[in-house]
Amino acid sequence: MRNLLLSVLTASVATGALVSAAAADITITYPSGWEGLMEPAFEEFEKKTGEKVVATVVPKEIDKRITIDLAGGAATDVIVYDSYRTSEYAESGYLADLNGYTASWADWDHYFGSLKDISTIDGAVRGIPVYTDVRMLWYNRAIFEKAGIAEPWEPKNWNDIFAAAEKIKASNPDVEYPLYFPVGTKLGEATTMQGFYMALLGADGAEGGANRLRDWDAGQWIGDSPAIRKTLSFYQDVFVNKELSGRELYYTPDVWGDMRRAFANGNIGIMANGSWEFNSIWRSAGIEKSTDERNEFMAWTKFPGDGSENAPATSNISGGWNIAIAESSEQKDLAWQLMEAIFEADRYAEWVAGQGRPAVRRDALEAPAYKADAYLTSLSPLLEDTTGRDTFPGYSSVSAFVQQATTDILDGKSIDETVATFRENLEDEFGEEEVKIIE
Amino acid sequence: MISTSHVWLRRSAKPMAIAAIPAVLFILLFIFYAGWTIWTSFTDLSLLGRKSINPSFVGFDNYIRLITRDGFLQSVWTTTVFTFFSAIVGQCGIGLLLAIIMKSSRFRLKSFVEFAILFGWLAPDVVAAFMWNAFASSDGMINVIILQPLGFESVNLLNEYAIEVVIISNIWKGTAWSYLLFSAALDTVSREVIEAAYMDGANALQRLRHVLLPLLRAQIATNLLFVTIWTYAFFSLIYALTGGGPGRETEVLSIYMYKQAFDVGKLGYGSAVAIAMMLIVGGLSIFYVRQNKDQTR
Repeated sequence: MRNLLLSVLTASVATGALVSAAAADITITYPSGWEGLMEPAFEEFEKKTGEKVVATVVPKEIDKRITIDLAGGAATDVIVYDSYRTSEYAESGYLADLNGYTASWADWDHYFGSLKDISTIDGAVRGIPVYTDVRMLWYNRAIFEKAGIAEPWEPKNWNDIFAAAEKIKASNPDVEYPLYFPVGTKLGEATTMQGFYMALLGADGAEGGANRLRDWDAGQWIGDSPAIRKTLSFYQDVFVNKELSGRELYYTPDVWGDMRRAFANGNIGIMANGSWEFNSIWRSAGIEKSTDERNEFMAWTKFPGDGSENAPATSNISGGWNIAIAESSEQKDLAWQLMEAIFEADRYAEWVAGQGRPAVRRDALEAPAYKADAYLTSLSPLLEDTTGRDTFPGYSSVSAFVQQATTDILDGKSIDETVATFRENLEDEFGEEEVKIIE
Repeated sequence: MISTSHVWLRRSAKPMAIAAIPAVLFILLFIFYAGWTIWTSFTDLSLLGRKSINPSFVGFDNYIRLITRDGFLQSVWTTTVFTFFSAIVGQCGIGLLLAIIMKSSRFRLKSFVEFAILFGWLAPDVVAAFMWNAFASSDGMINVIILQPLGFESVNLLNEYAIEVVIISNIWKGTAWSYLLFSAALDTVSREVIEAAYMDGANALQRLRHVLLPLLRAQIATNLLFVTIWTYAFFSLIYALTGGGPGRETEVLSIYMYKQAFDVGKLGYGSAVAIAMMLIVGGLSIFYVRQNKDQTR
């Protein structure tokens, strides 16, 4: 028995030693495609500190991976996360307070105030923004030419979008997706942001949260409103009444890659999507195209409002990604040193310009590589006229309900049925008193 | 201390006790997680936010919502259809039929068929999903090689017949197990019994119905039990292939549970779905076991 106890103790000590050794490494989780930003920073950090960086590179669905890692207590020291999660993660106690670090970090002054606000909850900085984005309608110029649609295409309302898509459908029956409009649950947040919210913002005026999912003044989620109904009827027109889009592309094993390849191969006429697609489409499709060739192939226009009296002329919404330290990290100082290396000014500016992503720091906007990029500078009008999501705790559930509502429309349910289920879901989740109905 | 009269076992009690530690730990772990899931199903525990730190006890609310809210019952129906056609009719039925046919087939044909069905079994689910997506798309193999030469127009099968494609892909994926089990079972059937039936004038169908099937009843019941349990909780191939869509056409219970727990973030409700799934599968298992017992009496 004594021998047995000794064996168990030895094994425990050995396991403990292994765990301690592993804890000395700095761990980080980031999405694939960010190697250009991360790997030189790791090298610099390792040289400077003598510590090793152990990275987990996530190819797909990093948002879900990070959330489950945090909830399960298995998060790495440093994490890359979708900035809209900041308030929920902070409320759950998952993100470290970075105030102590940013106070003495000169680079923090370069960040735009609005983005600092998104990442600051109750006075505590919880994440450092990496880049932002804007949303628009992309279109295939050759398909437009064949359909006889004049360029530059500047739709004034939703009917103009439908009219263009119908012309594409009539002139080019091989195009399975005259209008690609994110729908369903498999695209996740993209359905809410690139699709639903873009339409919602243009469906009514902003007063009382009439064109949003949350009334911030009243502190309530919106369970039913004319704008929500109009947005769902937009989906109904696209997928059911006018049949302007197939359905398969929203549910394939590789929803992002297949969508991009479909656009590159001329199977999509108009596409509601984001600013990153100017580069991402070609990277995913494995096609080398110069900037001129891309401009020859595709163009973008602002997403118009629905054309009703109070509605804005165009809509746009921005998101972005942050880097943060997990509260569970036992090496926060080292983790911050790694973050400083990642955000080294010159390297960051070059990388963000190379990615075709709008930067979030003034110094990066002044970098030669960024200034020389005509596409990035063309996004300025959208960056000046944008809004963010309702990043209040509970938003991710609301977003999932939105995705389910678009699924219901695809399944052939009526607007009334779909809205009733959406409202019921909100009331189940937050209680009736926290749900507002706009007549 | 293990009490036994067997000398070897008595002398080996200590090493056996040590060897049993992992098994005991695993059993405790299973009990812990099952208990945790049952407890969670009576709370509003969330993945994120306030309720992730301080969940409240909500009684049977989650279970009541299974019945009163959209989604769960529809998924039960989708899962039942999927399980019936892909596991019971497809994997079990085709597996048995192939095993009987291959029993007397030539070696080369048998090797070819076995390779073909084992390939499906060995292919990882995600790879299989990409393959079936390529087969079923409008310019995929099914359209180009079969439908178009026969004069049919190209059809986007995953758009129009998603549940059918998912069922067929799962039959392709899982028939090997049933085939192997029934092949092994057929090897145990005495050749004399079949020959005696033949001498008595029974035709092929009669030999199958009155001789082979009764002899294989236990194996068929066991196989049905396995494939039903596996298929009722099947996730990866369907999730990768369609994600439950288009719409909710292929949203089986496992996908519904995953979406509720990890997309919406309602771990309490997701746990209630898991417990309901366990009860359904448990009920089916008891049904199979009883049927088998009744018929073997």
